[in-house]
Amino acid sequence: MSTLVPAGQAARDVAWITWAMVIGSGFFTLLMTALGLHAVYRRSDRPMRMSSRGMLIGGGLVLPLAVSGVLLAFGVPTGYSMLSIGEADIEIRVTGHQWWWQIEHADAEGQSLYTANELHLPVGQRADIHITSADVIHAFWVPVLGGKLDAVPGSVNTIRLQPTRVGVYRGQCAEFCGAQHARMGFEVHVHESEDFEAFRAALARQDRTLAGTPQQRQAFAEHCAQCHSTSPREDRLGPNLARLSERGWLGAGTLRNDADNLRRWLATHQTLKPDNRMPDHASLDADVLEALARFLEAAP
Amino acid sequence: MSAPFDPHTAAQTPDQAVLTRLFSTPPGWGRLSAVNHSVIGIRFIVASLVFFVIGGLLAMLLRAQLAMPGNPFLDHEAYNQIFTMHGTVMMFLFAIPLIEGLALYFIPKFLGARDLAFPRLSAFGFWCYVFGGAILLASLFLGVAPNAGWFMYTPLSSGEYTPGINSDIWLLGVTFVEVSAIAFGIELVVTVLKVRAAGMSLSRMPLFGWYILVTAAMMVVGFPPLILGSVLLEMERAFGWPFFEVARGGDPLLWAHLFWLFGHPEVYIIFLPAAGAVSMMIPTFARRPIIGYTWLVAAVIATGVLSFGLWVHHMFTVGIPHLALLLFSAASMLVAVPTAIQFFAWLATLWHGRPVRRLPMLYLFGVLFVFVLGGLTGVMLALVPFNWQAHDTHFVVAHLHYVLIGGFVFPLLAAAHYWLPLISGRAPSERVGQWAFWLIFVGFNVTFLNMHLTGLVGMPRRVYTYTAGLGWEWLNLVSTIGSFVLTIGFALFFLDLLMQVYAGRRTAHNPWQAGTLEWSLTHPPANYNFAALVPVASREPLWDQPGLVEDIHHGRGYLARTRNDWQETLGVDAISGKPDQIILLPGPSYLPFITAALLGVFFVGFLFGQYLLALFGAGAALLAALRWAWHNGLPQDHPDQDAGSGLSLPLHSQVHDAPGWWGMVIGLLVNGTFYISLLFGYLYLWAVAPGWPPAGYIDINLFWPLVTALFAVLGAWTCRWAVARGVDGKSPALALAAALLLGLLGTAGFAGQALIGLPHPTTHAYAAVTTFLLGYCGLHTLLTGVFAGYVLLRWRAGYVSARRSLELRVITLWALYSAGVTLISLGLIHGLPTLLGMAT
Repeated sequence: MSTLVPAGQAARDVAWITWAMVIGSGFFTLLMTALGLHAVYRRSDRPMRMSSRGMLIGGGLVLPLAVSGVLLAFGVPTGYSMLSIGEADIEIRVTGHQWWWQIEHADAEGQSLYTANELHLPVGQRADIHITSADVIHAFWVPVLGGKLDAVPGSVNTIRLQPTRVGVYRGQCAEFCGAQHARMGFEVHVHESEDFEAFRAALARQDRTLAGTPQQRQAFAEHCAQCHSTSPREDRLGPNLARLSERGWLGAGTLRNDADNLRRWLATHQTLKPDNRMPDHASLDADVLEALARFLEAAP
Repeated sequence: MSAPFDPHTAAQTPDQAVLTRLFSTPPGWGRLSAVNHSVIGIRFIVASLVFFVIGGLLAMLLRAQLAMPGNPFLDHEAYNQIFTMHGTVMMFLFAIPLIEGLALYFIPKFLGARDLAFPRLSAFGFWCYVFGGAILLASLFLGVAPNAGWFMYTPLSSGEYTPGINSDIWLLGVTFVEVSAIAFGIELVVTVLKVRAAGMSLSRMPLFGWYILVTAAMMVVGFPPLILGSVLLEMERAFGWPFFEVARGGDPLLWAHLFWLFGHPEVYIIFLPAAGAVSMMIPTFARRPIIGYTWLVAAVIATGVLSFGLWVHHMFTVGIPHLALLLFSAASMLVAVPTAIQFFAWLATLWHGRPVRRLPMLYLFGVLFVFVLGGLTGVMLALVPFNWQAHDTHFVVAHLHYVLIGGFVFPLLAAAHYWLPLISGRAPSERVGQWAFWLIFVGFNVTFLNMHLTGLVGMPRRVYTYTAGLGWEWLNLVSTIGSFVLTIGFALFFLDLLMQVYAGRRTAHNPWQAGTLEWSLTHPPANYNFAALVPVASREPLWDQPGLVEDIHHGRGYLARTRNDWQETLGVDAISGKPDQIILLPGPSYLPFITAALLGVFFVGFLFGQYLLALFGAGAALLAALRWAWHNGLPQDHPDQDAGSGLSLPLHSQVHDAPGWWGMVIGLLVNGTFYISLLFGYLYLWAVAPGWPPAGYIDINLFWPLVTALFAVLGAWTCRWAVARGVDGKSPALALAAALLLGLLGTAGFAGQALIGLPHPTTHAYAAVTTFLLGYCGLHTLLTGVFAGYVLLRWRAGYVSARRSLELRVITLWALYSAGVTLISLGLIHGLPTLLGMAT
């Protein structure tokens, strides 16, 4: 997840600016140090011949103003490319929660499709991400795609991302948001257009009302359904679990998603991600936990 | 050429023995009554260094935790408390108090005075700092330290998401410490303007004086927004007044604005005094006066002004209008100009001088490399698109440490070596210090240089753990190793200083052959600093005025003779430095300690929800402060006094612009900034917060606000009337009694409007902020009455006369201010709904 290996329009522009500024900063630091060392370590004991007014005007006024001017000339157009100006190809709503991300794609009819901690984007298209928060201030950031923007309760901020490479990337909350700020990651899947449509259709088709056995469904209804839904059409208190088995990570980037880790997560999530908002499962029997795991793994 | 005069071998005059007695601090418990600026200054410095060690150890814990991914060393709660406290301790309990200590100790010595304008005020500030610091420190050991970050963003820090006592400790503890910053700001502005050597015009003042004047002024206007924010947030937490809660009409970003309105100037408040120290040292080692004195003064003032226009660059990612982004981005780059001017002035001075390579110069080389790099990454961060990538990553952590260690710690390490001989009387020693420098320099860069990259490859700040495989492992490990080297370097540095202080040889007089006044003193200086206050005719008097040191120590100058057991120093015209009064300084007093302790009762009472106890503490602290003020002034008129050298001057309580008058003016500037921040908050919520308009606006017959305003205006007028009668030698009693009565009536008027006209403040941010505004005005009106009553008592006791009208004039300033805020507030409160009502 490096800003220096960009996979998006804005991140690519910024990466160029970054390299230029890093080289410039290094150069000026060494130059100033050399000027200082020369003053102190020069051979001759005589005062040096160089107009002091020239140094003050040249170094103190002209130099910083010129450098700032150049930076703004390159920086401002780049900044504009990150703003939501003009029509976007796709709109996605993202809501920060302590400590996970709700992602709201839209289906072909424009109806909301809820999922959590995974964002899907079509390559090459301009996506406007509308960011807000359900509780405290978070910040939405996908380093390889572009800058970050805060998720502020009560207002919506919009950032424009335009991925240039297909792949799976990592995003992360960047504004300190409490106990588990460190474990508030998410994944961004950048697809070819047709794969993106396929994903959207698959998500829209998710219907787990008949997944698993009745006993497994019962366990989920009894222990999980108050806060979690497995239907992408439903917005509940906790992360939506539609298509959970397809996701790369569990617990907002805490744990790789596989059969063993799913069971570890269900049994010991308060140890893996202490103080997360899900009640401890210590009171649940092993067979109930196994039933929940199987229900979540079962084909829709 | 004869040997230079050495004051250490000169015999003491009888007057010097008296001065020593007058300026001394009592032993034993009497130390609690110390007010001497040297004693208080050293206490500030030592306490701040203790906090530096604590903050450093906290940083070591953080680095140990991040050494490898998934480290089980610290859990999230411990880590979050520790990183919050690392920032809080380093900013509020180390950096600012260290600056305060240095300025309190050195400013009178640089400016050729015997003490500060208000010695008891800085003693009071010291106790506030120590008590507030103790609250914060205790919370760390009890495991309930603040854990919402040193920037305390709401709603994370609010009651809903941090229900424990943690945030209250931050808000109350830091506010208590800030009282000392405000005290310092008032103290130093007035001291630099009024308490200098004769002939030291502003243009001859040592540059450190300019830096401190600007810094103190920045503290005067920089701290009130944060204090206001803290008060509002604490009221939200304690009483449920929803200033920042979206659901009830508040806005969390109001906190962010108030915090960074303070927080950005804070960076320059820390940097400028350290740069001032550099500007004092460079000429000494370059063996020539500084080049570009006027440029530097202009640069310092420009930095101070610009720093208040940059706060939004800490908030580029919160969702700011695009044009504002551009403006604040450009302004943030602009501040590079005054900084570059300072560096090029220093370089030019070295180029044109004959630099000597002594140990402090090595540390100044550290300043050059580290701060320049930190400044340049600052320019990078000012560019919005880059900021959006780098903000809240380890890149910013690296940047801010380059700025603060390069711009504050390295200069002060140089300063420690430079001025220690003066403070301790021990000769400089340079060998161990070189080792310490290289350990610190290498350790620092190994810790933080690669941390820029850690941020650019995606590691956010303030994470207690991270997953393996993201490419962050070796970067973090290297930083941790570097931080241990850095710590060893600091330990060696302090060890070296202790060795010098306790085992060093006696130093020769003025070992660096510097040109400024402090080096004319004995090493260590006498508790009264100068035996005689000599006229100054140059920026480097020790270079340009031969015989000056002898004159001082032989008592040839002003105020060399003692009388009436008075502790005297000169007051001068602020611009020209022409002497215009004799300032009588107070002796040791327990009242600063007692007042601070009672204020502590208020803070601790509030912390534990004991609001009656808190109220008692506040009231008792006010009484103690009035008791303290009772010691001021003289019970009878005095003729002008002989100041020596044929000069005759009035005593300060009998002149128009006495330090006390200036103190009230600067105090009202503090207060006014607080009020303007409050108006900003009022209008900000009104314009920006979601969840408006409220269910209803203030609903009361306009008769009541009009009558209240009338009381306030009449209160101010009666105070002016009292002044007019006082300076005519007539009795001001009736006028003062009227002002007292009007104050009480006005207070009732405000209380009535808040209680009758408004919904309960917990219902909506509108009601909360309006009630707060009315409360602010009510409190001021009440205090006008209290002060009028107090001066009435003073008049009866004989402290007020036609010549001694200072107290009348001082309370009149307060009354005018009160009336002003009353009119503005009532106009806003009652006018705005009407105006908007007409518009809709």
